[in-house]
Amino acid sequence: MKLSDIMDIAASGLSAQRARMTVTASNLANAETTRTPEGGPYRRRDVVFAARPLPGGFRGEIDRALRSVQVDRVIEDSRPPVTRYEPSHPDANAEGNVLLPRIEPVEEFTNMLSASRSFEANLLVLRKAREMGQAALRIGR
Amino acid sequence: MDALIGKAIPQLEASLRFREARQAVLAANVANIDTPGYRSADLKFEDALGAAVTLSRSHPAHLSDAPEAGSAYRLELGPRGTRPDGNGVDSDRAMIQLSRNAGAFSDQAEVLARLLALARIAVTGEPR
Amino acid sequence: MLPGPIDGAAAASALRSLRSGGLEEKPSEVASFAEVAGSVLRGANQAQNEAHQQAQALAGEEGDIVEALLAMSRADLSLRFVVSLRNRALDAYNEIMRLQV
Repeated sequence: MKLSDIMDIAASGLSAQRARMTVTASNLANAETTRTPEGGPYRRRDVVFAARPLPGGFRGEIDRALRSVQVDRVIEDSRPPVTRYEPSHPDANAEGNVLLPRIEPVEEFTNMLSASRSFEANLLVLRKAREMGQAALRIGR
Repeated sequence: MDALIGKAIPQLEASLRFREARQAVLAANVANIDTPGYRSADLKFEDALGAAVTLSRSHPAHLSDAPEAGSAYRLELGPRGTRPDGNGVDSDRAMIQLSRNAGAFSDQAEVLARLLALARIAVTGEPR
Repeated sequence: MLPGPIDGAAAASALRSLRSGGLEEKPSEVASFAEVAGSVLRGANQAQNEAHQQAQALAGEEGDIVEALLAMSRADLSLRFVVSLRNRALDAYNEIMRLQV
């Protein structure tokens, strides 16, 4: 429950949200990607967050209850790809269908916005912690 | 020396320690704003009887009547989340709590600083 | 407290009122100078140790800045008090030595 703990917690939030933004950007960039090294169209990715206790032993009861955040795993959309009739497409099959990622730009934009807001929120936590540190320094003056 | 510096100083010290601890709990809420299943938490400060802690008991050898950091703190979990992923953090509320707590800390630190300056004068009998 | 001739008895009573915070004087509870000085020194010593410990913890990346600052301000206050007591005791002593017997 020290000020440095607060900074660590906020930093974990920044990392996690940034990972989420990266994955969302990747989804947006690959909304029309029909060809990947693994074969088949791009599959939408998502991050799953998990709360983690702070490192270090001998912490008090309150400290042990504190949680930072981490990207637990990146999951790929398991749903089947979208089929679109486009016979002129280089990756169209014999029936003229193209397999496309199941990505909705609106949904991704919403995610991006949410992640960016949460990122800003953690930035504010960091700033407030620094202000508290500066306020504390006045005690000795 | 406690009689010289009065009760306000130990009380402020205790409050600062509490607000620092509380800030960590509130920061965890913000960091886990999107964590599935996470429940909002808050920290409360009270003694075993549930009453606000008052500080007395002056022992000459002790310089501080303030309770040890961590004593009389109570962690309170918020309701289970209603969102599909089970997360229970109200982001607006979390941000407001955080800002307020940080502000209270800063204000109290400033007041403590000034009281200490006065205490120095009282203790040394000199203006500075 | 102004420098200048200090009456020994006044010094003792000043110390008494110092201890009680100037709020009340209990005539039955006259603490000896040794008692007051002893407890103050112990407290100051404890505060110095605490401050040093906190400073070390901070240097070792595991300390808490708030705790360190609180400890340091207590150490500062208690040390000033000790010095102040010593000065007054010294003044009172000198005054007594100057008395024509």
